[in-house]
Amino acid sequence: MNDWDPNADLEDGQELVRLADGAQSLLSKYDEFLRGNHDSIPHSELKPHIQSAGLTADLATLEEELRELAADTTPETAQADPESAVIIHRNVDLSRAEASDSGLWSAFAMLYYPWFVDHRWAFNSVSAMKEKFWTQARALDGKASTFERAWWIAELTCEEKGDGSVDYEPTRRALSKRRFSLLVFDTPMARYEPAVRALLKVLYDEPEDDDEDGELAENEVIDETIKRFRKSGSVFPYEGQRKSDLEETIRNIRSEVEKSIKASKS
Amino acid sequence: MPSTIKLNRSLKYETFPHHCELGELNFWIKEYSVDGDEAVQPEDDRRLDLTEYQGWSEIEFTLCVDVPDSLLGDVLPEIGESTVVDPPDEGPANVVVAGHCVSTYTRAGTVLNNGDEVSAGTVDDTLTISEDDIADRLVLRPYLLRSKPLKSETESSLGLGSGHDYATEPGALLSDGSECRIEITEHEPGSDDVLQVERTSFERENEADETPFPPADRMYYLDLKRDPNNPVLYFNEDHEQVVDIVWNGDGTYDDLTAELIWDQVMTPVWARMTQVAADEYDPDADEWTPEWHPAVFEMLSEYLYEGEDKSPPKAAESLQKELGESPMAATERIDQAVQGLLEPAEQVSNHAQRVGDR
Repeated sequence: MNDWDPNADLEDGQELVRLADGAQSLLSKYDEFLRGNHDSIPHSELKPHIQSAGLTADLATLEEELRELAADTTPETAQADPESAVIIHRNVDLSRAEASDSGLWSAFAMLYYPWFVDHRWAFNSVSAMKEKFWTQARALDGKASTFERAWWIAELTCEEKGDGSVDYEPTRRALSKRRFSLLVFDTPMARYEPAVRALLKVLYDEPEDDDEDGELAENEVIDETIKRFRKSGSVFPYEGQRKSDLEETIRNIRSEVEKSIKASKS
Repeated sequence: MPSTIKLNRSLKYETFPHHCELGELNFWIKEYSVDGDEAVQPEDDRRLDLTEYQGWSEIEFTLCVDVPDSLLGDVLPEIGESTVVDPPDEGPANVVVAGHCVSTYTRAGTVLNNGDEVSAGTVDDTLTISEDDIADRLVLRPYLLRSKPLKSETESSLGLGSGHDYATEPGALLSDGSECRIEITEHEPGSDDVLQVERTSFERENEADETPFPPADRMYYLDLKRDPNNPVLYFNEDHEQVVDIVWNGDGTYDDLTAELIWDQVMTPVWARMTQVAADEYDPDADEWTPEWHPAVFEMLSEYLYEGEDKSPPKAAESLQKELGESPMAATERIDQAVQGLLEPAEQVSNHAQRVGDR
């Protein structure tokens, strides 16, 4: 079946569809859609672009969890980012190769949950809002559509435990500050998993007390540490280093950065 | 002893804080085996096209890297300017092959040699990829990296002064080599429905006796002749950087630059296609063919006749007439319509803000 019925309820185990490239032009043609009128693209025009993806996901559970999250978070802010990445990744179980198909994620944004894209992003311009529905390039934070961005950042940060369970705490930490996700996930560096893990380890300050929350370092420290760490990659290729080597490098950079910030302020 | 390399100084790829010899490694794929079948030798050992294989689960590659005789002595003091009478032929380095699959956001490295020591000659090892993790294309690149710290006692026993510029830290780049590309699935960039986009070497195309291709210094060629029903835009592979950014854009800089390249190319391409489609328009024909002609006017008619609400056939008819009567007015109309469609200023501003930091 390579159709999608806009009036049917979403189901768990539902067969996924993808949108072919041509559907992108409908976003420009019916820009009311980008402004929140999600019925504005006639189904007859969408239909020729809908293709079967040969994959399934728990779309009903995802819908329910996204609705709850939207009710609990402030619209048009990054507040929902950490939890939305977790629930999207948890309910859409794909291999990396399967998830590399952007057309799949366009269907999540344009067909299944356009209301969630609206909840997350304010409408600023047609071209900026289009990027939230349709991935424009492989830069996860800047130019990937809402669901593609969320799934992949979770994929690159979550940790599978020995017992098969998945720990999403690193995902929540990575998305707790926009500055961090923007500097890390728009760059090829983020594709080397040990580098992302090492950055999170060193730049996230654990709470001193169990009942307090930890947090990512200040923006100034994040900016300069990541900038210098990226430069180090051309002298010390990431793929030649383990997570522990990378952690040590980042730790050294962070302390140098903090020292120079302190010096410039005094 | 220079214990840490200062990471806050500005580094270009060519200028390293230590001595290295780039581009000295020779890297190739000796053979590959799909799902345990008999190993196959690739036709081109640096450009593998595996798109014909479908439904595989694992492919094993045998990777070979040749470390030239002279290289190790140049970058490792243990082998190089050694005062020892019989310098060792092995040195503290690793040959690492880094794999990068842009589509699956995956990077990984594998060490080909054993025991953190390398000697001159060929090292090889296998690399296995799984269908779950790799899609579209995999790029492999070889590196020679220092494997152990250069300790101060070693420095003094080798008679090295404090001003030497050998790499001292493990992981430091000593050399690299050309990459190997493996095409896994067919992949087309761009999403313009009316235009097929391809890449080829114009230099090679020009070796044929009769070729429609322009000379090798050109960047692109819009072929409307060979198959009038199917226009093809060719990018010239002889300009490696251009093709690489458009096809394999990686990170913000590449993506934003690709948009500029795309606009630069698409501006005249749209203009030419509009002009040809208008010129060949036949209002009395039953069907408007070839298909790309109406497609062009569907995209452009609102910009060609802004505020006039002309249908695509009406727009084609008007433009045809205007091209005959006043080429100056008609070409200006096309010029402005294409700018309306592509909005080149937006891309340039985006580039300036996000890459140029303006």
